[in-house]
Amino acid sequence: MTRARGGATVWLASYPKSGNTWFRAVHAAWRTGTQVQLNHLDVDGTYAGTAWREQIDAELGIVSSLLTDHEINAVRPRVAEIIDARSSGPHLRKTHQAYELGPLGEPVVSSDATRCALYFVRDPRDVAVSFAHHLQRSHASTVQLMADTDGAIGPDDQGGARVVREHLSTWSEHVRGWLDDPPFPVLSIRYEDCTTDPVGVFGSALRFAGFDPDEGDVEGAVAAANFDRLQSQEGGDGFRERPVGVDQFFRRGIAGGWRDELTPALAEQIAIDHQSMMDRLGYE
Amino acid sequence: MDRLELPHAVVRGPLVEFSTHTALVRLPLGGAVLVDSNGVVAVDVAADGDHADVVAALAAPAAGAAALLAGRFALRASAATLGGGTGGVVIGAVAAGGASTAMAALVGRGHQMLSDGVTVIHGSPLMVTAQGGDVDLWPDSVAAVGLRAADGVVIRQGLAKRRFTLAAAVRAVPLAAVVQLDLVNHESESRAHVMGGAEAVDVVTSLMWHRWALADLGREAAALAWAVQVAQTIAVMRVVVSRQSDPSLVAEFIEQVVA
Repeated sequence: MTRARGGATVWLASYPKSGNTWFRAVHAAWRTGTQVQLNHLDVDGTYAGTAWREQIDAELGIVSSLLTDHEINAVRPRVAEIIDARSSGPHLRKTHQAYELGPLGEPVVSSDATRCALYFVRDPRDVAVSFAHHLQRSHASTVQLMADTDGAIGPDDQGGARVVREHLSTWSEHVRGWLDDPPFPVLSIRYEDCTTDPVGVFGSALRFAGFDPDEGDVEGAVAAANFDRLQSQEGGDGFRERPVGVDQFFRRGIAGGWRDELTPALAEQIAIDHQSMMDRLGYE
Repeated sequence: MDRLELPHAVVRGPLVEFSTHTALVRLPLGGAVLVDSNGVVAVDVAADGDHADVVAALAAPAAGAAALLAGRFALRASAATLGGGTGGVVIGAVAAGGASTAMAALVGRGHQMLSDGVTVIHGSPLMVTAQGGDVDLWPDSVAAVGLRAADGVVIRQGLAKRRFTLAAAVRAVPLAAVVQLDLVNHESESRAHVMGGAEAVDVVTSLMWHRWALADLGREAAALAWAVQVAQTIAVMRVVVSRQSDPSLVAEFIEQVVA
């Protein structure tokens, strides 16, 4: 087997419900130059998320359902390197995994496999509302999850046993880890900026990732992947990435929606839990 | 015990290595099994490890490696008899994609188990080998296939899957069909279509154990020829069902489409 020579993987990293899938839809529309096919976002075979068990099993020749979470975290970098070694250009991979050290003292995200990362961040109060819907949990328990250093998503939350557990840590620590710790370049992308200037933000993100998009093409891709179209398509054809039991993946897609959905007490709790990082990111 | 090594490996992956006659399969944090064409020949246990734990965790990749070393091809798939034991259906899926559950549901409907996770097909005409009655299931599928959770045996401490023993066939049966099971959450109607040509060959090769190692082992051409043989002589079909379908209904649908 050939070891990775590194440098092609572009991580699409985020705490859940922060704009990762939106960017994937825009990228898919830009690559294909057509309307987005929501159930075929994987236009170049590039969107293989780090949570999918099938990928780990196939690349390593083992049965990941008989490995512990620690054992899986120990081999995550190797899976990334194997996949990276097959790519010839910028290669996008989605992850919600916190950037942290694995059980062998090595970061769970392989630097050898990495070109750079796009880190999507969103006001944690909007994340709480959207994530609660996604998890089918109360707002209160989701706010607790976002403040829990053991916070994680796994088979029960996103697609059944086909996915492995991904450790999130707290919302603040997830953001801090991805923005401060990697030895590779990381571009921070605020969801709120995507809503006000999607062409500018997504165009910059594509260029940072190593692509060379024409501005007019980006404009077309943003239009093809606008929220209403994604929501409409989900309503008609469904969305294969939607967790079992969740009625809608693309629910509101606005910035600041927490103001009419989250109780003042929970909004205040989030501000207490994450004040420092919210200040840093300009979330007032 | 001394650490197991494979100094003359011709192909090395992060967890699996092959030499011409042996393979070494490792756990990520310690523990390994050495395999030849007959199966596991040595076990390496980490200082704080457990012999049975290592064997249980690595049983399937070790069996897949043993088949390859024996000149056969094993599929990441499960199999059960159909037609009163006159034929066998092989069910493949992505990892945790419902193949074991569908097989167990077929057994619940009166068929016999042939294999779970590692399915060896050999000979001409093609036969499916009977490999015992142990099946590993996720908790949410146990009751749905008519088993009692209390009867499940812990495979590895701390993990959710449990091992059950089903009514098993005792001898190989002719291969009747290969089913690629696709559980989806965006369609409610079950459907099936028989694949042909390259599509069918791709399905068979995609299910092969240690497919990543075939080229370096010089077995890629043989594997392709074998997959073509399977695809040309056996119905290879994709069965699409809702993830929320009752496993017994999935099994019934497989019975119908294979018949």
